[in-house]
Order: sequence, then structure tokens, then C-alpha cells
Amino acid sequence: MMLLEIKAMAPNDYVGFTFFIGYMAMAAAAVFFLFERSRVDDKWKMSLLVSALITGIAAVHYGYMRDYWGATGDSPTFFRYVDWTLTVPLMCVEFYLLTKVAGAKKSLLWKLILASVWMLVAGYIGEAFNPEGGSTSHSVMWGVLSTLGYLYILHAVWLGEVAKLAEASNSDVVKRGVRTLAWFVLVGWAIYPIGYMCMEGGWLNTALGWDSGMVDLWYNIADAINKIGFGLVVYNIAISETARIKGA
Amino acid sequence: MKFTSFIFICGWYLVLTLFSSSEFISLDSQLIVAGIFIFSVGIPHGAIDHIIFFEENRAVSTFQFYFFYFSLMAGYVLAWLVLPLWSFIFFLLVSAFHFGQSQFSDIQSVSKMSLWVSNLTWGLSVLSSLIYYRANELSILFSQYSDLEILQIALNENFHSILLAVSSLLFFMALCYWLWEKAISTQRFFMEIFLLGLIHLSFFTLPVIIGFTLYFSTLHSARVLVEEFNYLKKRKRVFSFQKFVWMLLPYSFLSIIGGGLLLLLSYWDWISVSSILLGLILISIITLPHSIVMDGFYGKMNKS
Repeated sequence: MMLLEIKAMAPNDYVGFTFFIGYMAMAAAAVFFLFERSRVDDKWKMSLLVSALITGIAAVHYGYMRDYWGATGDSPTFFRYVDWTLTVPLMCVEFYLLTKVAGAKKSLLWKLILASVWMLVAGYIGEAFNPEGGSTSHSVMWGVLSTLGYLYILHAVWLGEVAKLAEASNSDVVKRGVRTLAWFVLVGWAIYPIGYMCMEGGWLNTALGWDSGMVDLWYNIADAINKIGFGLVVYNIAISETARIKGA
Repeated sequence: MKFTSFIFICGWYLVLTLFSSSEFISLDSQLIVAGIFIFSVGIPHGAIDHIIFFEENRAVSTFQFYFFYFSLMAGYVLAWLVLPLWSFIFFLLVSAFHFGQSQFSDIQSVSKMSLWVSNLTWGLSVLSSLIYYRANELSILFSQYSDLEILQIALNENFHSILLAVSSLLFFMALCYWLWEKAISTQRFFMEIFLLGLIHLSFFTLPVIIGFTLYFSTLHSARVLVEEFNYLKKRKRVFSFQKFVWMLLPYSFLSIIGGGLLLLLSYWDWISVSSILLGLILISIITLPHSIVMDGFYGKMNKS
């Protein structure tokens, strides 16, 4: 029974370390967002619930991945992508909820969800079905396809519908918040391809010789920044807007 | 984020992923891809200098303009023949300033000094990173032709490592000063750092031809084209994208055909100058008057 075994963790096992930290941080963040939910105005409660769901779902998966790593020194791609398939579309839901006040339509929500699912499915095929020993052409083809989904979301949040809706909103807090979340998409989400390209046959693995064992390290760092950071930005918007409404 | 910055980011992500299969991309293929972008976006961005100039300088006659423009080009050719190394260094400096100027063309309400420093240091940071990161590639390329050997002094790796550090630091200080003076937003501050970092990273990871073409065609040329279009749209009552393209065509074709012909003559050994050096001379003699016209354009654009 994997969960009942106590495994010693090497002091230089950075991946294992980040799995532990990631698990606790995600769980703590989920609890925090759930408790803080009662402090914000009604219209922001759903946003905080989604933030709690993102970090909560991630915490459960990190729990599994942490144990799996502790027992085998490996992390199956499967868990990782199940987590992302649930949490990344939820991040897109956050964009929709934030811009809803400025008139965002359901179609925007579906477009963002579809783009994120496209990005993840292509990434999963690229990573999980990578032939033994790694295939550069396989990694590149699915990497490019996945990137197209990412670029669609990037365009939407920086120049497209989301950006325009945020500009049209009367709230400076919403404008600033959406802009901050757009930075997460631009910089934070860009950490994931580093992990992807570290896998066997990936560009960083073949050209620069980066260890394929670093894939999970990059993914864990990216997850911690994006999921918790994303939620904290939403929390900040909710608290600021609630204070503004109360003060008015 | 500007649309051209987004295109640069898209291009970078896609080229980087594609470049993992670089062993399948030959130098010839790289040159073809680069040629397509340089001819379709790079050259056209300087093809309406005369129109831009006369919009703001109606008192100057056509003869005066062309006389000035072509004299400058001819003078620069002479300089290349007499002092090739110094002409090359001058070309790098002019290009650096010109690149920086187009990057910060929309910055207003700042001191001339800080703008000048930012333009130059930003451009130097870009060019020195290209030379520093791709030193081996450039060294191989330049050692293939005897007439390029003298120019290699200007591509010294150690010098460019120092120049890269100093120019980047000075640019960062200038940017901090703008932020302090509230001339730019925090958003713009981070975007500029992010973009410069991405340019450096693209030069570090991509081959010299692909890396430079990506920067030059998206962040520089496309950006200038967008500015020229918007400017002319504002000035002319009837103006469309189609009209703009028609404006770009004559001098673009002339430059492409003329330049191509000269390169062919060099290839056939009718001109005793290597095609790389000839290419450098051609680009530099186009860049110098173009930079001067654009300097005036940016000055007037900000005033208006």
C-alpha cells in the first residue's frame, strides 16, 4: 500500500520537495479561498469558489503525485494532465467571470474553454505518446499544435475580447486584475513549455542537454505560480471591489 | 501589448518549437524564409520615405530631397570603399539608434536626453546580444570571404559581452527613470523588459538569420509600417490599406530588383565584392537616409 509506506526523501530530491510544497500550498490556498469567500460581495463569491476549486483539485492531484513520486521516483503524465484538464479551463472561467460585469457572453467562455482543452489535449498526446527514447518530430508537431491553443488565449486576454471587455468595464480594479492575469498567461503559462521541451526528444533535452527528470520540477514551479497566484489576484479584485461597494 | 509585439511573441514561440528540428533546416532554407520576410515587410517599411517626408516638409523641393537622399547613399558607398571597418561600425551604431527609436516612438513627455539614451542603449543591447550569442556563427560566416576579414574586429566577442552588459544596464536605468517620472506605466515597464528579454532569448536560441529576421520583420519593420499607415490615414481624407500597399510597391520593387541584380553580379564575379559584404553595403546605404527621414518623422509625429 503506497500511501501507508513511509519513504525517505533525499535532500537533493528537488522534484519530490516541490511535490510536497505544492501539495501543502495548494491545499492551504483552497482553504483560504473558501473561508474568505464569506467576506466578499455576492457577485464575487463564484470567482472565489472557482479559485478554491482550482487549488483544491490541484491539491488532490498533488497528493497522488507526491505519493507516487515518493514510492517510484516517477510521475505519470496521466495525473498531471487530468489535473490540468480540470483546472486550466477553470482559469478561463475566471476570465469570463471577471469580465461578465462588462457584458461578457457565454460564447467567450466556450471559446476560451475549447482553446484550453485543445492546448492540453495536443500537449498530452505530445507527451504521453512520445515514443520510447523520445521523438523530436512527434514532440515538435504536437508542441506546435498545443501552442496554437495557447496563442489564441494569449490574444484574447491581451488584445481580444477579454482585454476589450476589461477596458469597457467601469472598474479600475477589474482592468488591473485582468491585466495581471494576462501577465500570468504570458509569463507564468510560458513556464510549462520549458518542462515540455525537457522531455526526451524535446528541444531543450536534445539541443542543450537538459535532464528529462526536470520536467516535473518545471511543471510544479509553474503550477504553484499560476494556480495560487491566479487565485490571489482574483481574491484581491474581489476584496477591493467589495470594499469599494461598501464604501460607496 | 502592441499587435506587432504579439506577432513577435507568436513567431518566437512557433519558431522555437519548430527549431527543435533544426537539423532538417538547411542554411539555404533559412535564407529563403528570411528573404521572404525581408522582401515582404523589411524593405517596404522604408519604401515610402519620400511620402512621409513631404507630408511634413512641403517647402522642400523633390529635387532637393532626392539629391540629399542619393548623395548620402553615394557618400556612404565611398566611405565603405575607403574605410570599410569604420563604415561597418557606423552602420551598427545607426541601426542601433534607429531600432531603439522605433521601439519608443510613442514615448512622449520625457527629456530628450533620456529618450536619446534609451534609443541608443536599447538598440545596442539588441545588436550586441545578437553578435555575442551568435559569435561562432558570425565568425564562420565572415571568415569565408577575404573582404570580410577586416570587419571581424567589430564583432569581437569579449567587447560585445561588455557592451551587452553595459547597454542593458543603462537601458534598464533609463526605463526606471521613465517609470519614476511617470512617463510610462508599470505595465509598459514590465512589457519592455519582457520583450527585450525575449529578443535576447531568441538570439540565444535561434540561428543568427532566423533570430534577426524574426525581430527585424515583426518588432521593427511591421511596427513602423503600422505607424506609417496610421499616420497617413490621419493625414489623408481618403485612405485605405489597398492604397497604402500601392504606395509601398514602386520603391520596394526597385530596391528588390536593384539589390538582387547587384547580388547576382557579385555571384557571377562581375563585381569583386563578396555577396555578404555587398549585402551589408546595400542595407547600410538604405538604412542611413531612412533613419534620418524617420528621425524627423518621429519628431513631428510626437509634436502633432
